[in-house]
Amino acid sequence: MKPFPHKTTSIGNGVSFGTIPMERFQSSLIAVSLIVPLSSETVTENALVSLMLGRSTADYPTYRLFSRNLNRLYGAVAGSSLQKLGDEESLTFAASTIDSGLALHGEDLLMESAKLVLSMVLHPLIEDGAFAEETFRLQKKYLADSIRAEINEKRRYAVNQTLRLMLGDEPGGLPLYGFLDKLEKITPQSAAEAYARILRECRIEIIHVGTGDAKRIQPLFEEAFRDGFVEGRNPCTRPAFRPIPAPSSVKTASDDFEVVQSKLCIGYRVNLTPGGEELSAMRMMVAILGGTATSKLFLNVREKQGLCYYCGANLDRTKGIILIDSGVRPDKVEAAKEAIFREVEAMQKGEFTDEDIRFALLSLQNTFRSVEESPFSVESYYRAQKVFGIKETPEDQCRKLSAVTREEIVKAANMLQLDTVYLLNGTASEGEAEEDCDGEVSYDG
Amino acid sequence: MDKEILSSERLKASYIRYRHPSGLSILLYPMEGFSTAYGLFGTNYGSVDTCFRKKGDPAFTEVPAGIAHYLEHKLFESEDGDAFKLFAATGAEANAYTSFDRTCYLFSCTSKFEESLKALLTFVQHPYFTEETVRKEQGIIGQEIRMYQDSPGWRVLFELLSCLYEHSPVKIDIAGTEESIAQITPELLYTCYDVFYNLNNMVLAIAGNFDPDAAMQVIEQNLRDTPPVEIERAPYNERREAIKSRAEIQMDVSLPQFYIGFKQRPAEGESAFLRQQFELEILHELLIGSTSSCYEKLLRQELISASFGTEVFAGRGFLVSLFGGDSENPEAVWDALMKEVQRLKKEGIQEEDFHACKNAIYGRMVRALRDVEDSATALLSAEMAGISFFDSVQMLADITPADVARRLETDFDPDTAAMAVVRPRG
Repeated sequence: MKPFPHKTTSIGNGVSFGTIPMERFQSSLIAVSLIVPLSSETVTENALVSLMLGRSTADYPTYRLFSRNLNRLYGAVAGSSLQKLGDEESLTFAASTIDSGLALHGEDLLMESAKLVLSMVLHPLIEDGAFAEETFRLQKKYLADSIRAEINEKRRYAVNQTLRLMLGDEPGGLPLYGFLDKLEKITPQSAAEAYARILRECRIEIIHVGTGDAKRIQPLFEEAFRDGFVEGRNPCTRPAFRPIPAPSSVKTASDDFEVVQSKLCIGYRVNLTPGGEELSAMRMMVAILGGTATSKLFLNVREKQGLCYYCGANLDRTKGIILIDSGVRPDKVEAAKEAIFREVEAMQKGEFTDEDIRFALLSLQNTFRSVEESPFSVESYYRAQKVFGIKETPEDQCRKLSAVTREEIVKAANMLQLDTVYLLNGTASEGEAEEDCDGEVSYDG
Repeated sequence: MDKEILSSERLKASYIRYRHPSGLSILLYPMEGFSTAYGLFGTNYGSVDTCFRKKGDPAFTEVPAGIAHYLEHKLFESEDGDAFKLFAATGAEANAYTSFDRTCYLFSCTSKFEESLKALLTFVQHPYFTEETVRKEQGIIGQEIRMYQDSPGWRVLFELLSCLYEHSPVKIDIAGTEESIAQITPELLYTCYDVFYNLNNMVLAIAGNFDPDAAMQVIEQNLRDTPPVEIERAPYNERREAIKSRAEIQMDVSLPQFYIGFKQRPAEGESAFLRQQFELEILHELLIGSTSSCYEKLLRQELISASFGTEVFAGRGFLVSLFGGDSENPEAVWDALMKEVQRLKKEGIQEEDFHACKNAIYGRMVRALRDVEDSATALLSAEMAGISFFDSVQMLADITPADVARRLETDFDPDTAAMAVVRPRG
């Protein structure tokens, strides 16, 4: 058995430095994640701060200078991202470059990218207690645009609506980009205060993946995050997992949009914990139901009955939610809904073959064994493991999956509690594509 | 069989190229330390290839729009059922895609590589089309077409292409239209299959964790002989200028989305065409990439945001410099871009900026070689462009500021440009 590859050491108060050496990538990724609780009060300002830090720094005060530096570093990829981890969020700042050995002029790319990440996290464009006016204005507008842009892609919009209905005000249900009304009230000063708060309360996970000797960059991070790097630091602790109670009755909702394809989303609750006992069986259940190209939803609802263009099931282990989402012709919604329910019932009655089980296992194992194929997926996998306090390699997960029995899968299927049915109703009839100003329709319905 | 080992000292990488007697080009790139193997089987055939003939045929055959994509869907079906089932038994993840000028079938696996490879070769080489199965697919593909119709980004792209192209099928959705796919028959599918799925027109690329000798054994046993074919595609006589300069539609979007495009004449010869694309990529960055003064100015004026991007939109018989994103005022972005083209033509290219752009593209190519999926795709793309991947890296290295300045003069005439916008309903 291979040892757990993620070696971590504590290098400060709530600061962990870890490395996952992988020669094969011939590139390195350095990621610093600031992990903070999700709350409706802070989620919007956290998003704005993350955006501002990830696009310019005191060392590279405009995005143009920031980008020039990336080009100089052989098209390095750097910036910030947001990710939900249960009831917490991760503000991650990362830089990835090719291995120094491939540089044309002998640059020390590992060191340069470490410095760049630190510049994003610790040298923001703040002067006299306020973010620089320009970066504030631009990123605030960009965030507002991004919040409003949710409506542009209807599949994503429908999934988000369903999750909002299911999770209400739960921290884990908050939108990572936050809320427009909260955004309006943020000022350059309050954003700077939010930045200071984030540094005070966050746990910090630093992860290096790929080539290069992490020992060379570790002192840089030790120095940067030494005790007292921010005043009054009191890192948050991981909140206990809270199961969300099932609703007393099934929620239904729908919205009309002038689009040709409707989106039907069906949300179930399951009583799970991120690293819990039932997780492997639930993964198998979801794969058989709707996780692969031979799954019941794909083969029966899409291929045989032709009711949906896409129809699949997804498990969110951090919130205990299974979401089935599909794209349907408006006149086939009821038929699709019934067909989906039939497949769920079939799972609950154990109506699936040993071949279904074998295919689901092979498919899930293939997915887990592919985690270690890119520095980005390695980083995000092991970061989540660390945050949830789990120590399992993808290979460990494969072993657990292969031990799952038919009975456990049936049991998992019977844990499903229907919570919400949401329909994004397409009202544009076929052939009624909107015309442009001079009357030419180039996209036939 | 013709075997070559292609290698690059600078990139510390090498791969094997076979020219199989069947006509198939085979590229094998084993990668140490990875657990995944990725196989990509592609044909030089996409949505723009709707009018063609085999050398010697008296007349061109014209087929309905969307047939290449339809064929891709139908190939997954055989007399014994669904090809996905073959892969389900190996645990591999299988998929396929059709672009404007290419169709590819692929799998990604972490075990049972030989079985997966055999499955890939088998289903792509065994077409099975009947009246019934072809009819059944119309519903599913009709839904796919409708789904894309609801996507603002996709819609606005085709609005732009319709401004630029009068005859080329590039202006039609890759999946066709509901009317065009209604005309597809098993006979037409077989006709297209026989011409374009000839192994002389195909490339197989494998990258990642696999043994090249074992792969060759599976390949040898599973290739169907096809007689050599020379395909002639009917040329589309497009005028140099844009057909019209503006198009506009309305959808449920939060902000206007736009595409600006300059239609360009693809350089003669595959290798010259590839070089032209590199030159354009550098020019895009110099004109309005995130390191340019123009981008910075537009950003400051809130006319563009991080959503803005550029693309060299290129394929067999078409070439467009694309610029697109969200903006409250797309006309102002158009004006700024046109001015910037003029300014750069007059003031010339800064050497330092030019070299930084080349560095960045070089870095991206180097990275592609360390990713199982990206490397197979990059090797296959280079091969289809008639060149080795390493030669394409060298081609990039050889480009000079003067080349790029010349390209700016010839390929950015305002008469060839157009803009399409999708605006919020109102």
